[in-house]
Amino acid sequence: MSGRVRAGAFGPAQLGNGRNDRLLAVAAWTVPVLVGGVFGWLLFDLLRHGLGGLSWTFLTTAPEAAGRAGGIGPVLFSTLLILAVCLLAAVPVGMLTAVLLSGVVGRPPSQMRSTFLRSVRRSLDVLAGVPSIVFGLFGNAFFSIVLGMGFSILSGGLTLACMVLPIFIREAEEALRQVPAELRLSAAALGLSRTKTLTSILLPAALPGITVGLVLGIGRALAETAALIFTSGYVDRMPGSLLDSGRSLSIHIYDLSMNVAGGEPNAYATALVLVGLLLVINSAAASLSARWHRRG
Amino acid sequence: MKKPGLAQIDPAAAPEPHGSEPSGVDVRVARDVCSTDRAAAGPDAQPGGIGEITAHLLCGPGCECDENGVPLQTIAEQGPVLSVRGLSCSYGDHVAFQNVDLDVAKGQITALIGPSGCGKTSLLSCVNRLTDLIPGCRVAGRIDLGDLDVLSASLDTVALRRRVGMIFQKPNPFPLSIRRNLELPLREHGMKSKARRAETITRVLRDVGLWDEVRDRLDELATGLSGGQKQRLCIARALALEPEIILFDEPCSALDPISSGVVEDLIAGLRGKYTVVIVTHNLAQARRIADRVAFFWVRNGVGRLVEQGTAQQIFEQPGDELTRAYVAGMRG
Repeated sequence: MSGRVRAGAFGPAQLGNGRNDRLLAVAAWTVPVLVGGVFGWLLFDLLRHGLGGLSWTFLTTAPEAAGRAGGIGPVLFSTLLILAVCLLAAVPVGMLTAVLLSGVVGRPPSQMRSTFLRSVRRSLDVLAGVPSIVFGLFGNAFFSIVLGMGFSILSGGLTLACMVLPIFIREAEEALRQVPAELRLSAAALGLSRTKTLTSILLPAALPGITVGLVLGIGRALAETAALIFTSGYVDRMPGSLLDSGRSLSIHIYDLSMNVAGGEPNAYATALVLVGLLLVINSAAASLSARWHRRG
Repeated sequence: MKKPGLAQIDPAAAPEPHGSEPSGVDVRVARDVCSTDRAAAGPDAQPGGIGEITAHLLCGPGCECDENGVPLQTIAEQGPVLSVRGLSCSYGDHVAFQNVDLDVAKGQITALIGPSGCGKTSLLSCVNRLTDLIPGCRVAGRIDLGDLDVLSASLDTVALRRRVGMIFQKPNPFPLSIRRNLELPLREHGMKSKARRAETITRVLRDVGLWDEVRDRLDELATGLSGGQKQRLCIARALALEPEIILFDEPCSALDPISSGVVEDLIAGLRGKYTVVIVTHNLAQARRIADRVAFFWVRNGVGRLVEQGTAQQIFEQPGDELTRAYVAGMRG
């Protein structure tokens, strides 16, 4: 045995090394292929069942026979309205909170203020994990009943905003923190005001990250059913105002597949529209952010 | 209240290489003939203080005299443009430096040398109050910039930073176009006329030798420039505001040797036009460009100013053993 030990400090290389490397390579390729495969299969299934039902008429006409026939015009419109209300409420509030939390503007916080900021951050993390049905009940109690908005697009959109805010704020905060401190210091050294530093330097630099937060938020909002059933309701007529009830795409899918016998084909087509909408919003946000960043 | 904007500044009031005496007295007439006599430096001359610079200026290699030996410029009468007294700075429990007294003379290049962690950079940050932005940083003592009490709680830091330019170790242009990089501070400080901004941008880019390299791509991202170009752009950005004093924090240490040489020449060229304070770890560089040198050292974990004087004094006849060992390359 001792005869096999070679001179020098290293001895023979361990035989297992090459095998381990190969194993790791196989694992590293298998997992992404599986993940991609699941998404591909899902998309393929949707396309196979849903593509046949998809047409311009389907997108623009009202549902008939509880959704078994007809299209999804009002549902699509309500969804976009709910999303707009959600973003109009969530983006300004979220950005301001993220700026405050990130501490990139102004002097370092005092002891008391940083304790406060820490507790805000922790609350947001907890809120991000709260099940959507709880947000639905809260939205129903607060927006629908206490503020008297009833079952309406407004109350649904605001409830979604509450749900989206924790994710959006933490993403935007992180994006602002990632901006190199030197930029902040050199802006200060040039005597730029805090507002100017924020609007001209920090926000543009953080924009890609903020966009990611926004897209994640939109994804969560579009996918939501539980929070909306109690707030925006499920009336499938064309809404006349923000105070009318409106049915979102995801509720429509839920309703068609669970409550309506023979609703499956249209549920598939609707799901395809929903996924398509997500993809469009996602890529639009990405390219907008890239263009904004390039413009300088 | 009206903000002091660049637009209101008379270009003629910009610092000139020679003799912009606040009193308006013609120095050439009012002054004795150049001599090594310290008395010529004025009654306030103190050993190691500003008076000595004057004596050096009058008779040393950097002597600025006309053909009759009459000095064109002295510093003593104007007093130091920046005076630091009993300054200490700490971050939480860690004391960066303690009890520093330093005078910086107008139009000269003052180099701060010493090993890492002896508080040189922190000292610079005190002068333009960037220390305000650092969590847990406390500053005590007194800094006067001309008639401005820099550490006063009621000071308008935006106005202060307009007067004090700063260049950092890592070149850090904003991720905007070259033009926007220069325009942003100009607009912020009240230069409303587009034509004047364009004129200023051309002038400062020429001053830093960048004009010919970037004139055709002013609207491209500044982050695409090379390291040396970025640093020169940062210097141009600072010069555009016509500061009274420019702080350089190891401006060449992140650059390759050639870019480093270009930037160094650029800084040396600012002598007389601007007052420069430069932190450098490169002793040869300090020797090449500095008029005055201040040597810092760490004692018991706390940075202290060991010795200051003319570059010649510090490098050739240092008064302190530590300085002698450091400049000879035996310590640090």
